[in-house]
Amino acid sequence: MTLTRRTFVSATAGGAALLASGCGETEDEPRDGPPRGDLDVVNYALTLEFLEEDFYEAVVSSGVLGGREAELAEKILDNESEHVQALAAVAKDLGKPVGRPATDFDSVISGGRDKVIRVAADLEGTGAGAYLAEAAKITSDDILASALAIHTVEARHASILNLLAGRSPVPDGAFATPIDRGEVQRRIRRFLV
Amino acid sequence: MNVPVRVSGAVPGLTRQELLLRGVFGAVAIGGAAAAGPLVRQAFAQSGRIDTEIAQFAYVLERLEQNFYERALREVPGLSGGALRIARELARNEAEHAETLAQLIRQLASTVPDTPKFDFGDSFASTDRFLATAQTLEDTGVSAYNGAGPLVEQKDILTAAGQIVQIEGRHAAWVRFERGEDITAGAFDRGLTMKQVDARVAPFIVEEGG
Repeated sequence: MTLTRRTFVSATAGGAALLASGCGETEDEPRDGPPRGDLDVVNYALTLEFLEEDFYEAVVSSGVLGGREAELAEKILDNESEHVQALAAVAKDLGKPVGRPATDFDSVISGGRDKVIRVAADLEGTGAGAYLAEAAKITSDDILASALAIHTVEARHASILNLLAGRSPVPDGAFATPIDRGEVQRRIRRFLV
Repeated sequence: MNVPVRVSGAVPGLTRQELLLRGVFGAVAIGGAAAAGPLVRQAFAQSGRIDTEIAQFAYVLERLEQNFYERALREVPGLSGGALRIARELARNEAEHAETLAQLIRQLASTVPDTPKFDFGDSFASTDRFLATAQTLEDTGVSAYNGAGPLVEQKDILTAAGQIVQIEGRHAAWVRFERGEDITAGAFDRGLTMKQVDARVAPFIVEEGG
């Protein structure tokens, strides 16, 4: 669901109805589509983190950014690498981690500073929106806590990269928009080989 | 300063949720039912009390932030540039968060808490002090929502809280960047318990709401 002040009311109405009925048994069921386990969510997140890690490795090694922006890219790369390690460990606990996708950011890097910052802002915004859309599917409290802890770090990255791209750090206003898997796929497809 | 009663560790039989939730806002947010004594998690879940208490807690936190930025706009001498833009945008966002949470609380058939009186000390004496307190508030807000998230029972409310906390995260980074600080405190925004949130926001609350 996408929250604005108006839709918030209808979006929570289901919850209110559930509450009124006193029946909580169904709330762990996915709202749509086939049931998905936590492993599936973790591997999806891991794929996105692999993509981001690859991107910042390409950015940092290219030297396309300078000064404070270069330092920022290095720090974000460190964050993404920690996310990869944490999610891979969780996926291993639950089953089998996905492999690292093959990526290609050459056309972004060759586009220079402005393009790199723009793509970085887009990737981070997409990542944050993806975590937001997945949160309610997670059944384990611990995994949810971890996903939330990563979600707002992606949001922090998106905020400043938007600022550097000349956009608002809060382009959606007061309420962030969840981004479903289909839309995420459409946005990242061009970077996958 | 009004020091709230802390029940953590003092009352046997409290659930983890109660221990986490009762904090500086406990006395503000929790109505008569909370005084009835220890309740089991199941009772909370069936009555929706966890979600209600989280919404009430978040509401007061948002009012605190809103009040902070509105006062900064009036009081910080020479506020301009990036800091002024931050104060304006964040005042708007926090007001929307508070209003939306108030709607949710009413939907959950509960009472919107009175807004406490706040005291931000010398935070408005200069732009630097304003931004330093802003960073504390935003980082604390992020960790408060992240700590409460796994306790939320209703999926729609979890997503709604996520839509808000993502904005708090964006605020936190914006303030930090304006100050020349790292935009994150590490790779993970770990959740705080309510007791930990207590310690960070208690200095700003002089009088609890009705």
